[in-house]
Amino acid sequence: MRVPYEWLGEFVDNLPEPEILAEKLTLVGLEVESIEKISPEFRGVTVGRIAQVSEHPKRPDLKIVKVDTGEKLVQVVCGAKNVFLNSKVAFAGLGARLPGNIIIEKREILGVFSEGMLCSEKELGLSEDESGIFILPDEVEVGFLLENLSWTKDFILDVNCAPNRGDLLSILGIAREVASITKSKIRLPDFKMEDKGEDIKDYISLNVLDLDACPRYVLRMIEDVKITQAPYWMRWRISKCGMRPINSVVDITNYVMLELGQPLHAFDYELLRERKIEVRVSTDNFTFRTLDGQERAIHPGDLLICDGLGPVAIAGIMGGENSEIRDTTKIVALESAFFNPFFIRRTARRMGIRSEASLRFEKGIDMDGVDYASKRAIYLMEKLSGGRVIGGKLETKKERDKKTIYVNIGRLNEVLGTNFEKKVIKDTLESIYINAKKEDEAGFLFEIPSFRHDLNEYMDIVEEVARIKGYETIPETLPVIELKRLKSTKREVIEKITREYLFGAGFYEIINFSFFGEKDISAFLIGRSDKRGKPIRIMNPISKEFSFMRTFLSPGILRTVGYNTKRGEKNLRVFEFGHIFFDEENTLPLQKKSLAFAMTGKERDLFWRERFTEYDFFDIKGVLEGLMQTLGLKFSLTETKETFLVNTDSADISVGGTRIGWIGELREEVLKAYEIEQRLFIAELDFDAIVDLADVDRKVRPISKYPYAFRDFSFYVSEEIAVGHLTDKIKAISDLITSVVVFDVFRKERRSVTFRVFFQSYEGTLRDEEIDLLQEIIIRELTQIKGVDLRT
Amino acid sequence: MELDEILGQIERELEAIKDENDLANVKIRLLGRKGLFSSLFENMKNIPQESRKEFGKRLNLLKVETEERIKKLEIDFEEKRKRKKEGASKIDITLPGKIPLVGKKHPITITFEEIIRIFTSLGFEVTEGPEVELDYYNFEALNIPKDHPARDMQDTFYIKEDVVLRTHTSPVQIRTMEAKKPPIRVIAPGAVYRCDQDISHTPMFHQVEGLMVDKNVRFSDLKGILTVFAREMFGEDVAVRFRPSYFPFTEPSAEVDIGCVICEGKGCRVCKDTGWLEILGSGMVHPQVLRNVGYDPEEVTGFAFGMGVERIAMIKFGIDDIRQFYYNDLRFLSQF
Repeated sequence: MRVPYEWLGEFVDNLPEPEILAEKLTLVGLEVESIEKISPEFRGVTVGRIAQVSEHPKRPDLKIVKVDTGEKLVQVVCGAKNVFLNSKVAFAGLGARLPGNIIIEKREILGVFSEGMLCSEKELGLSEDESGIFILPDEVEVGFLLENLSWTKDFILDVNCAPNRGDLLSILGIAREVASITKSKIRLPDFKMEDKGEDIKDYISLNVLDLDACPRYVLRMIEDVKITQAPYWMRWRISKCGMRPINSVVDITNYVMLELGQPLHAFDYELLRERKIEVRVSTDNFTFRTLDGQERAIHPGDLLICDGLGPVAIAGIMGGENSEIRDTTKIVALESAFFNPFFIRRTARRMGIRSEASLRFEKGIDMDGVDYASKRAIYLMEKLSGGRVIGGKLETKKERDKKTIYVNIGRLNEVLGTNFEKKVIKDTLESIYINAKKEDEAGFLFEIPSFRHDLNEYMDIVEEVARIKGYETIPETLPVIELKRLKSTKREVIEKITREYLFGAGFYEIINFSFFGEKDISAFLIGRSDKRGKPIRIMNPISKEFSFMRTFLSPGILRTVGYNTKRGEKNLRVFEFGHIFFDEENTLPLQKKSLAFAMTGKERDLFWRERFTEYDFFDIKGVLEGLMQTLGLKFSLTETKETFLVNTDSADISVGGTRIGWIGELREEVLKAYEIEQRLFIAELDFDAIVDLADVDRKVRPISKYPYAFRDFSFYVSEEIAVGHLTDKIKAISDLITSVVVFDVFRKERRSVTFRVFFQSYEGTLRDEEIDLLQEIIIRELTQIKGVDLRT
Repeated sequence: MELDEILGQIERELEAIKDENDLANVKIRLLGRKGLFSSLFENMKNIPQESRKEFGKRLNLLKVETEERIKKLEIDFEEKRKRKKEGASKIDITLPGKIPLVGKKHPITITFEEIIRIFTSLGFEVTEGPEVELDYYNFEALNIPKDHPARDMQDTFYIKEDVVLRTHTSPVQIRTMEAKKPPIRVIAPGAVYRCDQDISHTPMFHQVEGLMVDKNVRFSDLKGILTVFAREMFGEDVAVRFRPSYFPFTEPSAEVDIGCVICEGKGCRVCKDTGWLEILGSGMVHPQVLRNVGYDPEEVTGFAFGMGVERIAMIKFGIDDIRQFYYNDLRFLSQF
């Protein structure tokens, strides 16, 4: 709600300065998001009186005007149509400055001197109106500086009201809160409407068919109105609140809505067929043209205002084109009603309309203020549009249940942790019109005012006390709590160990959105039979590329790599821990945790002492080996069927017969889809499975007191034999063999592999003869294999 | 031979050393099997009984000293020899060192860990809930009615009519309360989703939810706990302000602001000239929410809070565009 400070001042005396008021409002829950300062952009413009008007001798469309400035008569040449003798106008004399830094100078127009200018609202920068010169109200004094008129200057407080506080969507509503802050009383608009007779009954009839949908409806009428422009001050206030002035009658309805919070609707009486108004809930489907020219689909259940033949407005949302106020309207039928918020919300939401009226009806308006607002508007129409009030009103009304809430003072203090006295609580609530109706030893029965639809139970009142007293008056305490064991789950432990390992291994953690798209699935050549190819679809995705919940992390990793390599960061090691999602019938999706890590480029580009080679399969495999060691997992690599991997250097990863992921190099066409132009090695693991399988309980093995020895063995090993298999074979020969390291592999005619085998005992220093024996066994065992020969 | 004399001889020998060869010879002459010290110890039997012990002690000391000096000389010569081999007698220590490659935590993780550390130190347990969530848990049970604007397709990602991507971590409140009885003290970190994308919104972001329910949990406790949090997170001297707000699932509700860390309350672009930065939303658990999980609001009360992890990280690290967290630009990530 945009609240003009100047308007607020009409309701509450002694307003604090705008900044201070803003802070105080914020602290009672009416957050002031900004204060907009408004000040005239003109200087030196004064109030002038038109003392004499004559025609320009050479240009009959121009007038020569003598302006009474209060000191003297000044001659001005003017082209406007609305130049009337004795009216008060905005006069910019010589030297005055207009917006855009225009300085008024003496001019000669076809032989006639002009020593100033009569300004339109637009020329003064006050509005968009340039239809004529700005006619000022009669009560302003001639000679007065326009920039000193109070309504040219203002502050607009943009107040962010809680969605359940519909009562704050008016100057009156804000004023009630302000008055509570300043410990004063609000002042309602001062007006008196002459309401004589029951003539209205001769003009129109009213029938409300559903009192639940429309608990209160008031119809008043005024005739002989002239549809003109609303007075400046009214248009100005409406604009400051963010609405657009239209014509005097419509502006008055909007003005009263802004002022009192009651939306009003004005019908052109002569367009109401059969002179009747009927409020009913639609039972049919049809279309209806609203006053913005749109055809709206009406559904059964929509609340409608109808005349004798059909709808003339969608209740509380928008009027119809068929009955709107026209320039020729003479008789106005004014609706002021309380519509059931449920009906308004449902229809407005379906139609996608959020009008100023529907906004207020949706939240609920003041049922007791319906007729007051109606009278206020009719009064203004009579005064400003020159109309004649048709006596009386038509009204239907369902009696309102008066809501009461009992508050136990002891319990209120207990919940807040405060010690407020009974009287303080009563006074606090009464400052916002929540009045005590009954009192007993322990507390009060409070009556809820008709405009507070948000107060329904005891805690609502507790909140009001805390809010109005100020949260700063509530102490800060630390609760006394029972100690409780905070258990770390295995998942937390394993995840922490894994992260620490990867950070130590030089991997950057990345976080991607949990979405991916059709393109990712096809880029990774994922088939339809693969469950990763059947992701959960989002009904309303943010974009096409993010239309599914991801089923694996690798696409996000590739997006990250593409993003970085394109920006010149070519050496990357990254990992992501994240959720992936799979559809499950009749229940929420399966949410699994996945881990992916990738490396591309090389360790570093430039270092003066050494050169680095590009990463290959053994770099990523090494990372996996280290991780598996850390997690106490023995894994094996087997041939993979993943189509996105290069088949020569990739594998499935298994632990104890369970496949837990894959590792390897991504195919070029996959990389291309992410604009990556360098080799990339990546692994993705089922982290839930890892958590289940991991064994990180450690028992330390004693260290042998005796020295180790080693021997090197070189074999020719044909290509079809896996070196890993030979390593395992050597290790299996004896417990005295503590480790086997492959330390050289090269190819000439045949592949040659050199192993360094380490020997050590817990019982004593190994003698040469003992090692010789083992050496013989190693050679014998290996050369027994077809395709393995000792190199000599 | 008197000890002084011996000392003099040793000094002369050591001073005369010019290269490793000399050193080796001197070592043999002094410490060798037929060297000076050996013969001196040999001759001890000729020393009168009464001074023998004292002499022996001092001679031994001298021998150890000599050994140490020779060892030092050996090391020096060795070093010199090595350097000569490398072709330079001295390295240029201003050449850059080789910085080890270490990984970095994502700033969201850093912030998560800090928030979790603070609340676990206050006795809160960490729990989690599903990211794809039933409408019931995300809205209904939290007192957010069917026609509430937050339930619009404009704001919420829908999977099915009654399944959404959770728009906040608050459904974990309901799941936790359904699963156990008070006393409850939990925090629930995790990813949440909303249909929004601009300089201050991403379609996925992270929150930490907190919930404490017990007999006699007071609004003042909420203030106390969250003030501790703000001070731990942003510093002992930070100003903390509680301001009334509205959430359908808490009452009274409070927005927590801290004094702007950028301008220190003077007013700047970041705090929109208010001098305050909003860091989290909180409030007493709404009685209707307690009833929804089968608790009796007359028996137990509680407070809940929720904070945006990115928001906290942005304040803490001076980041002005939330999307930075999700580009995963190494030039950004390497700064943490």
